[in-house]
Amino acid sequence: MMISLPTNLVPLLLAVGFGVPGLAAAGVLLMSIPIIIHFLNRRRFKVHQWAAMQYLLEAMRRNRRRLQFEHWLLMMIRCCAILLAGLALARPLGCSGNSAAAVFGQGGRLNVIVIDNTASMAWQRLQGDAHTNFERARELSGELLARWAKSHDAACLIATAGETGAVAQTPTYDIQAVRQALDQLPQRFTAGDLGTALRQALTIARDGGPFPGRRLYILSDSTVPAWQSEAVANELHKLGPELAQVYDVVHIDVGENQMPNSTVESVRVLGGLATTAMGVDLAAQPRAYGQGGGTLIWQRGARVLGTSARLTIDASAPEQILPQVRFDTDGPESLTVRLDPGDRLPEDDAFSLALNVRKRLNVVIAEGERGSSALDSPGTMLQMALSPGQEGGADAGLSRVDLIAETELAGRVLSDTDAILLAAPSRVMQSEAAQLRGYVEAGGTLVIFLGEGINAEQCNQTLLAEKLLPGKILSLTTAAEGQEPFRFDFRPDAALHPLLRAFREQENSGLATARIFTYGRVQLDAAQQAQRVLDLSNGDPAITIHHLGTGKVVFFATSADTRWTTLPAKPAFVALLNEILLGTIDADNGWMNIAAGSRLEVPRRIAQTVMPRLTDPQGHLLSLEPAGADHPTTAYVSTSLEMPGLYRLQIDGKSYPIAVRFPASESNLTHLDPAAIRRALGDITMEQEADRLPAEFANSRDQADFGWPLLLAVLILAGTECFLAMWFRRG
Amino acid sequence: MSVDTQVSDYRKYLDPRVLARIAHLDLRARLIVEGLMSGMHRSPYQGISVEFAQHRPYSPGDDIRHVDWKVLAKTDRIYLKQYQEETNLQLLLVVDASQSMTYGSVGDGDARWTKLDHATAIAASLAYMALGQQDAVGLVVADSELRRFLRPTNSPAQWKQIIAELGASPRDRQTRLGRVLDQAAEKLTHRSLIVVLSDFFDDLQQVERGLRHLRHRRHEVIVFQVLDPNELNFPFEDPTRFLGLEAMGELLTDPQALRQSYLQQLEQATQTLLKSCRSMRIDFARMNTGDLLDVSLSSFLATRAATMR
Repeated sequence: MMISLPTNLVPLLLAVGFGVPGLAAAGVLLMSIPIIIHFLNRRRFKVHQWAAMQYLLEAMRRNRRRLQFEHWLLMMIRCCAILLAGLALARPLGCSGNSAAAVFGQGGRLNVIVIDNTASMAWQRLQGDAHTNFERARELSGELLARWAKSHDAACLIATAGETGAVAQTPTYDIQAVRQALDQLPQRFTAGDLGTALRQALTIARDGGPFPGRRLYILSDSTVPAWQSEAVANELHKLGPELAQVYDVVHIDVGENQMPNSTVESVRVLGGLATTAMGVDLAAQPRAYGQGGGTLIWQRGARVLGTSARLTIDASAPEQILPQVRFDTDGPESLTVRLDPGDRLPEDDAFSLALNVRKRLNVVIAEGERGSSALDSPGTMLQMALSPGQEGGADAGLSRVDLIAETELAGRVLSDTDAILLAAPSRVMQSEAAQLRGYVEAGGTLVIFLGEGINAEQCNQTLLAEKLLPGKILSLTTAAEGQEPFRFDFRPDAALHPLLRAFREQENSGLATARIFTYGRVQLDAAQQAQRVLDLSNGDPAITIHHLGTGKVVFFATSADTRWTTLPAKPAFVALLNEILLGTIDADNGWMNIAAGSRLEVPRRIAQTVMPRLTDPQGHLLSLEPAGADHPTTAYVSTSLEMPGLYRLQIDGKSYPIAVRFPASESNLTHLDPAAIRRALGDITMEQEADRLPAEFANSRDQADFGWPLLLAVLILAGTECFLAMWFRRG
Repeated sequence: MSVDTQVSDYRKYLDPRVLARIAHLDLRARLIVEGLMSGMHRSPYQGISVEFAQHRPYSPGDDIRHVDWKVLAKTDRIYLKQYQEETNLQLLLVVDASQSMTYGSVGDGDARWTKLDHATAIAASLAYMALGQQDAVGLVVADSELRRFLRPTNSPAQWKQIIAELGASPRDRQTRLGRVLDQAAEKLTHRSLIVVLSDFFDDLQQVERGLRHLRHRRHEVIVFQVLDPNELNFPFEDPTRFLGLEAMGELLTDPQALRQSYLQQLEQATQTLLKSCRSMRIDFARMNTGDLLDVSLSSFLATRAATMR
């Protein structure tokens, strides 16, 4: 019966048996050198005629056996010496770093450090020299590197956030270079990706060449975001067994069992846009992981706007509202909400928001079918709603309204327009639809009202083709005579779309009582991903919103005049229009609010000529580089802004607040126990240490270093060969 | 120019490497003998063949070795012994001209100095000296047979014949010296001084038998074993294939490994020959072809003279 060996047995034995299998093979091959020399010598000799042959032959006869014995003994010793030298240099059986193979400078095993440098690692420690968990992880990594420098091991360093530098991401025996990379590794205030880092470690193990042993050291604070977040959980579970196949995995936990952390997760302006025209409601989301609490302090610039009562905060704490904050002047403003007292992760105790307070909105109303009276004219109704004092073109109210015919859209410069209200479009051409699409995609807001005189077919061919409708207009539906008109499905106590936030608990707003006689029945296109803002009572969408590019399109299935609905005559109409505009018009403050680790991109419209000046929260000047011609909308780009907080950008005497936010996910410092870490990696066998280095692997095969004993044997054989050769020659 | 300087200048021509470049054997012999004479200031041949003649008074500067101490004791006067050359002595030179004698490592190329060169030079020198003293000189050229035999005579033409025979001897035969000595013993009718020049790479028992035969006939025998420095030192280091002369086969070996054993074998054979010679009262001398001829020859002659007194 044939017994077949696994086909990969030999490579496996070589890989396990020798750190540098090539040297072992070389030893086996070179063992033949003495034999080859022997045969060459038999072919290369001098010829000498000799008279005293009888004495020479007699001497040979008497010594023949001795000479043969000596000859074979010397040859065997030489062969063995070469073979053993090859084996010794090949790091037999996976030796530790003090191997003879180290004379080639690559004798050691591969050690990979994956160090967590995400925002959560900034948790402040109360004991030891290290100020934060990250500093402690760096301290322990430094001690590991010091070990490996002595043992001539290879190392590389991978960070879970950001880059560590090219030297440290590939295995190198230059431990000093890895040490430098470690020293320069910054504490990042971004979320990390442990999965990607471990995938990189796996690639290094597979592609990094033969090593007698491989160890993977993961230094983290064992928090939920790193190990159990949805983004990485599956990846880690799959990676664990693969890593265990190529590495001895060690996890060093630098976190503490209890790391209660409170944070201000977000601050926002309810309604979207802050204006000088009306007070705005501000909302802050406090959250605590573990027991937390404190007082929220609201600040605009250096001025305290308000202070909350002491709150008890947990992971599901409700949003806190500071109502009716009024901004007297327009322009860039900053809001900071701070939790007092702070905790041991101070970077997430405050949240800053940079916003652009608007004094007036530029609105264009493009009217299709004009009615015979003001009530029948959608453009007029919209103008009166948005700018009540502007009849006849007066400059008053929140919005500066420009009422035009839809045919005037063609060729009009729309870059300064905050919103376009297209009322009862009846003759929109393809080119105008494309123009509108370009406007929306660039960040503009388009509000479309159907109405008397529209051509559904043409709308589908032009507006729908440019994705300016939420779906195809199937038909115009009119309530039959004697039939109850349609109504909005509005319940003030139910869950409302954010755009209807102002109507919560408002029983008499008129939304519930407004009657709709005619509306366009639309079949929503799933590809548009339109949200229903308000439906009709029969379930058909009445108001929708969908995104297109960086802008938004709001669709009203009925008209803005009173011919199709009584809504324009309701008190809610004005509020609804303003809420929609404030909630959809781009506040133009996205560039001022960035995540930590991002680069600030200063728009060209802000800095056209003068070089801006950027300072960090401590007032240190930061560098800005021109963005170049490749960036049509960006004038300058900064370096990565790592530290959360409020930066300042000075342009031509005007100051812009730049808010750099702490990643919300990193505030969850819920600590996982070793069993959870093991489970996260697929229940692999691994060593786990709490805030200290592991002892040397007592049971590892790495201790079986036969390199030096073999080299010693080589030296003994070489010495024996020299002695015997000398001794035999004397014979 | 001092005498010592003249002597040293002259002796440079006695270096085998120089002699090897001199084609004519008679010239070689003359050089050797003249060198010998100039070195000793008096005939070295005296030590071999002269007998006591008379006494004469001592005068300052005389060699005190020749003082007759018995006369001094009896008469209290200092007299020196004087010797008279013997005229009826027969000298037979036996030269081994076998193939093994053609081996030589001294000199190089065409001017290589072989054992046969050394032996013939000694033979010619002795013949030159003997004929100069009016002694009869004969020659035996030996290999496996008694190849040539010149009966001893003191005829002036004998010198040229000896030189011609020594120069023309064949060199490709094996050695059977014992048999040759037997044949020579049968041919000699008068008591003679027989000088045997050979490397004695032969059956030593046969050689001993031949020598014993000569001694039995009451001949006086002197044995010169002529050996090459390589044979005496075996200085080879690299692997070498040794091709034996006289059809002795061949051997590929590491010479260093065999050196000690070979030298032991050679020394053992030499001691065997030496013991045989001593037992038969035969003078024995080993001649190294690398040494200066006059030194080795005069050394031997001086030793022999001392033992005869």
